[in-house]
Amino acid sequence: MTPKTNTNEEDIELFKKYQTTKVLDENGKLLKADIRLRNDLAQRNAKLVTFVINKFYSKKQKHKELRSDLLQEGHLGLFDAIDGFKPELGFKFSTYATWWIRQSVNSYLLDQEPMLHIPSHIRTARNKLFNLAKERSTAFKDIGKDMLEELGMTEKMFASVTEAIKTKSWNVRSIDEPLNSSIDPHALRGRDKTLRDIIPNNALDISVNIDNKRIRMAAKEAFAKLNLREKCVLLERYGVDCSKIVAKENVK
Amino acid sequence: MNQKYITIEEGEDYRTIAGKMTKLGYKMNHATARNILLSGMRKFVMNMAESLGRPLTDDECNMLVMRQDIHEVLGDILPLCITEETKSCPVAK
Repeated sequence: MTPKTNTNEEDIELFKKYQTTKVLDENGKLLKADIRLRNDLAQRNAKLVTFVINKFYSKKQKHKELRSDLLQEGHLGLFDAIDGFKPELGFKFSTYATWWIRQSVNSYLLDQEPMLHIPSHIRTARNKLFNLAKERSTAFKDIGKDMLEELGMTEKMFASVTEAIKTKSWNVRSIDEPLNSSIDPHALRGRDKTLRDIIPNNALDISVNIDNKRIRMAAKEAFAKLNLREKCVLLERYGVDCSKIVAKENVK
Repeated sequence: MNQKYITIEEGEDYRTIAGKMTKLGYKMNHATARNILLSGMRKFVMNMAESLGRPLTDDECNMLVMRQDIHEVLGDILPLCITEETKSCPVAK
């Protein structure tokens, strides 16, 4: 397939045409549009998604693993950009669309990260707070009212973010996750160690537990059959104070 | 395995035990303390084996009582017994 020629003027004409087909509700939400035209515009700007992914999401191993997913998410972002683009403002479409593509991809990546779901608005707020704290060289706990006002954040939201950080849900990991997080074919075959392999299991085996219970019961019964003198001498021999036993006997 | 004495790392010697027991109202000397300990130990092991459904003969019991590892395990088990024994004792608390 030969790539379509993509000139700025052509794009602007198409966007203007697309805008005329859009039907919005009273809140500005898109109800209806010419899907063919939108697809055409998306196809013409598809290379932008690849460009953004290559530029911003190609360094980390995790991004490399998810490349095809990121491309798909990027295209969804591109659709949003096409719906929201206003050619009359005079900006280039690529400038506008880059942000939408990045937003879509970032949102996808954030959804992938924690095992527990954290609402995106909490994540965004957390990132803003962390960035501001870093900018001011202050600790997160020292963030005051003035800084919250600066971000336009309520104290309730700040409390929610703090709570989310406390639960450490960002640090939740699967016990079956291979320790080597890269895609290693050996890891998938179970040759790599997982957290389950290295976390010590302090709980006793059930059979051992039952045995211990039986032995304890037997010891208790056997000990109860001894007379007080024998009990005391035995206990003292092992350094256990027998005054409690004597006190109990005296109560009887 | 044919050893004559059993030593334990923690705990009291027979003279100290005899002194304590005398204070508690059970007058005895170190030899008596030793004899009581040995007979008590024998009884305890016999009773326990019976509770676990495997009664011992006298010879088996004597052999067990002379084993160092059995004495060490008893050191772990006996504190548990006293905890159970004194659970319902108001004075002991």
